[in-house]
Amino acid sequence: MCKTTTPPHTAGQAAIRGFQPNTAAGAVIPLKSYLQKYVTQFDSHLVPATPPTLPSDVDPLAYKRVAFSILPLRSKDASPYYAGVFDDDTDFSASLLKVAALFAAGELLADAKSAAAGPANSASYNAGLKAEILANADTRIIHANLPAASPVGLYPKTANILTGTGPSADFTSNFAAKQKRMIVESDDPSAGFCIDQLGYGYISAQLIEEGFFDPATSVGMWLAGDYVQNTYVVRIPCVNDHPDDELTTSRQMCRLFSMIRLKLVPEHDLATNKLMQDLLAEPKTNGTTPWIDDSRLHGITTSFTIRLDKIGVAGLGTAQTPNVYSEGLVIEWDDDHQVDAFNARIDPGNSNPAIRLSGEFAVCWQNLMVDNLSSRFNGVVEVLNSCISDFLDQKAL
Amino acid sequence: MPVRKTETRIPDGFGAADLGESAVAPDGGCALVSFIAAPLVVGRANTYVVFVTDAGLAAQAQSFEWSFSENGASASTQTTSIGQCLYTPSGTGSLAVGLRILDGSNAERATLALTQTMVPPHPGLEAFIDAAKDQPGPGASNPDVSRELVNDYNPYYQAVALPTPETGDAFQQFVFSMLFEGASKRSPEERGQLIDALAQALDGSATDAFVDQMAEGVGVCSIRLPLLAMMPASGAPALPWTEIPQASAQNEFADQKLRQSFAALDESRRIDCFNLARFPKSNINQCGHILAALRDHYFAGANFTDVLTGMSGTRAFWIAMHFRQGPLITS
Repeated sequence: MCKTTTPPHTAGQAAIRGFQPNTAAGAVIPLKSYLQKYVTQFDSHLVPATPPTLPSDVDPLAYKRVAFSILPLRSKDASPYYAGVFDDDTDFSASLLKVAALFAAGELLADAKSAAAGPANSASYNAGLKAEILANADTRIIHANLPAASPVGLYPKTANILTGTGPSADFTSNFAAKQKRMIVESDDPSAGFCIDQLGYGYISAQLIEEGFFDPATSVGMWLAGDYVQNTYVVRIPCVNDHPDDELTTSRQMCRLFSMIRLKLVPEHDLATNKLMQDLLAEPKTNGTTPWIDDSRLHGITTSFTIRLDKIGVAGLGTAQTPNVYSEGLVIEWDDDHQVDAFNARIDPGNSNPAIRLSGEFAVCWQNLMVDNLSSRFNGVVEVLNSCISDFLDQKAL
Repeated sequence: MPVRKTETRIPDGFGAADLGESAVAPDGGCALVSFIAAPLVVGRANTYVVFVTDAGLAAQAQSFEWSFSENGASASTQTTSIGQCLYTPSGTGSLAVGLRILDGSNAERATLALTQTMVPPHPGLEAFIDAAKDQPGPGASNPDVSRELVNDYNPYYQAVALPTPETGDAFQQFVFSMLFEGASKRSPEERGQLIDALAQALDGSATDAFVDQMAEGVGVCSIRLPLLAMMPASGAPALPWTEIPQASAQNEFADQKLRQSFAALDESRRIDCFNLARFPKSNINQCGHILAALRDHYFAGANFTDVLTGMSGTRAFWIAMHFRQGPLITS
């Protein structure tokens, strides 16, 4: 007889076998059911009753596809209760994409901090970045025509962005100041400076590496324009506009806001994450006001407090009219009792704190033609107030 | 007639509830069985089977209309020509499963309904898998299999028990290891394809095909049907205890003879063994029963703690070998 003795189990199996069965506590009515209900109910406050006059190079029906993404957060990660409508539409979302530049800059700083100490423009460090970009950036960007005359190229101009590499690396004071204006004031020339220094190739590589853009389907976040000039840009098709260069899906923008809030980007660099959160934090001193701030609403107020925010607005098509509005946010629900009641439902004995909701939600909405709506931003708030409240209360649909 | 033979009888001595979560018609003429007992997990496919045990109803049935409504939303419906359907929950909450058995003129002849809860994937397991990615040492070696077992079959393997209880959980550990091995061997889709092929063969008279297809173990624990016929949980064995050689070439030939003997059994015995192996709940219970029978036969007097830990696990190794290839001649 063979004397091989292999016990038919492993330590990993023992751990897996030890898990207790799923309980029905998590059997909540999904947020998506409420989102769909209220997007339908408040349709007249989201979609203009009269079709807007659109440029000939824009899909005449796309204005009806107002995208929403809502992701309830837990203390350390995202919950499984994500909901979205038209959330995989890659839409032109203008200044909202400045957050993608903020993300890429944060990744570069975190990367520089983990590198060996040295000057920012060291040949070896830049060679590594170049290899990363050529390996991971979208090929349409790698092969784009970006001559020496272009203010923007593929690769980061590291000496203009970083003080050096190594643990004490930081943004140069000029880049930091421009980055602040890009986010806090949504200033276009400052965004142009930051994007031009980062390079389209580096931004694309970071978005793809973190899963914010899928080159195979061209769905997700795309930033290959600099808000200043229209000559050296890389446009791809999108849903709500002619081919354009500042695009996102609400799902991926919502995900980016959640990851920033949860301190998941950049990885292993809390200081840089704090810097990103500080720039996005509300209220912004001498900065933009959220589109769904109470001051912009008519006869209603939000049931939440805005913690992080970035707005977007710009015109569609070659004619650049009408405007589409968009916003990425992290909001905190005001009524703690509702959050507590929901948590008591999914974790009755408080035996699993990790699955309880924190009360914060990452949100993105886009493709809203506010200028054609007498209700302005009310529809967005009506949807958010109603669907999150009902979800927390688990109201009958 | 769309009611296949495999759906005309629930195994002798068993009820629909022994096969999975079930709903039985008040007159007992038909029964709906869900492979997975609620709560179901979002994104994980579940198989539903309807047994039409009333001969009159079976003669009338021509098609099956399944409806699935999540949280009271309008139902999605599927019409099948056989009494089996697959559904994957898309959200958490409540799922209302409805079934109408229709005759040739699409008139309703019977209805069955089942309400199940739907929840997110097991949070503890997801955290474990996530943490294991960055940790040295034992981890979730096959995350897909771990997800299937913990989300879909957890109550089944947690409940498996010996007729005479023993101290400790060595028996449950052994059953789980065989379940893990069986689930790792073939994907749920591949297992489903084999079950469909066997059901088709049992429905017809393709004995050769049935004998060949049976060479693979059936269901989540990959149970060989002749073994099941040799070691029934109750009643007389359908096949006599037959040990076969261990050597590869001889084993293959002897196993084929064993399968031919199984194929020659009375149709009802073949269908009963097939159905016991087909449903995860009964499959896992039968796996436990076979392991206990093999232990009693070859290592009488040893408890399962001894089997797993004594003699460096040699006895466990041989019981697993008998399960996969035997029972083997050991002299």
